[in-house]
Amino acid sequence: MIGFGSQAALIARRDILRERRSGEVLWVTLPFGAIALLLVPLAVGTDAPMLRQIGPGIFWVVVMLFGVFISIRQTSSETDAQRDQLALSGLDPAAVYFGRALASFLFLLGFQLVLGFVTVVLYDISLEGWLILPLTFVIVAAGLSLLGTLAAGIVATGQNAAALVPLLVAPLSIPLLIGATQALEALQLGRSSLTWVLMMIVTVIVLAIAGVLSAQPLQETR
Amino acid sequence: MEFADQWNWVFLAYAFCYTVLVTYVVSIAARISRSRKRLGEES
Amino acid sequence: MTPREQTIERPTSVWPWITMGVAGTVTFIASMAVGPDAVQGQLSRIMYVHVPAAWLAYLAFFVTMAASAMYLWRKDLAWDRRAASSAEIGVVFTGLAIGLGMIWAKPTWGVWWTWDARLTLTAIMFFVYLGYLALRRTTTDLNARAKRSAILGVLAVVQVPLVHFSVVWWRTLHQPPTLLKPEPIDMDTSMLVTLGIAVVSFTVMYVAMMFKRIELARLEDEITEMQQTADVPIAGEAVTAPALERGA
Repeated sequence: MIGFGSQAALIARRDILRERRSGEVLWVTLPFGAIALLLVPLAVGTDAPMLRQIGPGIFWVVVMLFGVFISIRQTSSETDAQRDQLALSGLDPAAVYFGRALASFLFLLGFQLVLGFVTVVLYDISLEGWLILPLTFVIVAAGLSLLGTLAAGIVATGQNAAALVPLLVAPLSIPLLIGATQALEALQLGRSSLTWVLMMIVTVIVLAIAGVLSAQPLQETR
Repeated sequence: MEFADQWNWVFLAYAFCYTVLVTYVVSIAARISRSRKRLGEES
Repeated sequence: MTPREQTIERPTSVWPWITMGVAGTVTFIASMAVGPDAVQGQLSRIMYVHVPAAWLAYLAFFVTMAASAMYLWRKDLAWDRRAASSAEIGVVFTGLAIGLGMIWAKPTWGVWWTWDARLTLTAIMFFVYLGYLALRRTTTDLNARAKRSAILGVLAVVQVPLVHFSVVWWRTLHQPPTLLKPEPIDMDTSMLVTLGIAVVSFTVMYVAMMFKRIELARLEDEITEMQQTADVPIAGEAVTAPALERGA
């Protein structure tokens, strides 16, 4: 029997391979997020100072709302037969959960980087105080992927998943949204962002524990 | 604020509150009787 | 005797309906009989339905969490029905609390909504439990549905304190203009007593609603069970035996 880490890596590798074949995140979700960033100024006006002010907030909202689509991408959903096979394979359900989340985490990180670049260009954001960003990017991607994978596991099957998972994820991702926006704002105002970063880390830990604890009972469910 | 104006708001609040409550309770009653009917028919 | 026959033969009680009616009437009479507040005037009467509704919203979701945890522990569908019933009633009362808060806020503060931490949190909870109810509609397998929604019921409550703190911290950094701050109501005894009566009778109403909502949940579960265990012809009725002798 292979170790927990290798099992998770196996699942993550499978998900990444499937994504590479279908390109769903790259060719559908990512352009969708980018066009959302393009739509906002068309609706609220192209006043440059205002765009500079709302840009970071809009970026995080788009990441939260559209990032969910990465967790429910077609390439990570399975047919009943595939689920059965996975359950019978003897892989630790918690490792499967982490593997899925790991793949989503990597996609989300890329998603954030590209959209971050688009935001800087479209909204003319100054890069002052953005040293915190790599840290927030990693924490938010971890939190969102854990939460999205957990929600997708709870909803499991059915055509409703595409609409239901975002509804479950959006309200519960609020600590991440507030933490990410406030950490940056605090830094720009010369305050410490430590509380916000800690709050996001606590959120990530809670989600990881919840995911591990529910992995086994959710796999039994069919 | 005018005295009568205040009462309008109070009236609106209570009308809203009791409409929602009554509608919800009636919906429970309706769903119970519908379910009982279906159980009676199919058993 | 199957459980189905038990329920259909159990006489349905009218007491919960009567209790709900009495509780609603008591609240109404008490809140109309008490004198108006010195500062807020007649508007203070909205408090006697707004505060109990908000209290019940929180109570109902706490019950959902506790019943969800009990289901995960005991695997008894009765706990699942309690959790689901409480969640539905909770959504109704949350909607009421938000709506009544808006109707109260408009004449007092001049706006329908303020970004107060508690208000924001209540609105978020409303959507969390709407999601819970939506999840319950996705599958008809009673045990799978119970397990999934119980996990969500517990997860939501683990996550809500985090949402709460994040919103409160966010709020302390962005104080609303003093104009929009609620004026502290100096409540005299008669108002406090009235509020107490309203809270108690609304709680009684909640308990009575739970009785009826759980009865409904039991009936619905039985229908689902019956449909799943009913004898279904293997090929369905679309297939009939070929008439071989025709034309012979």
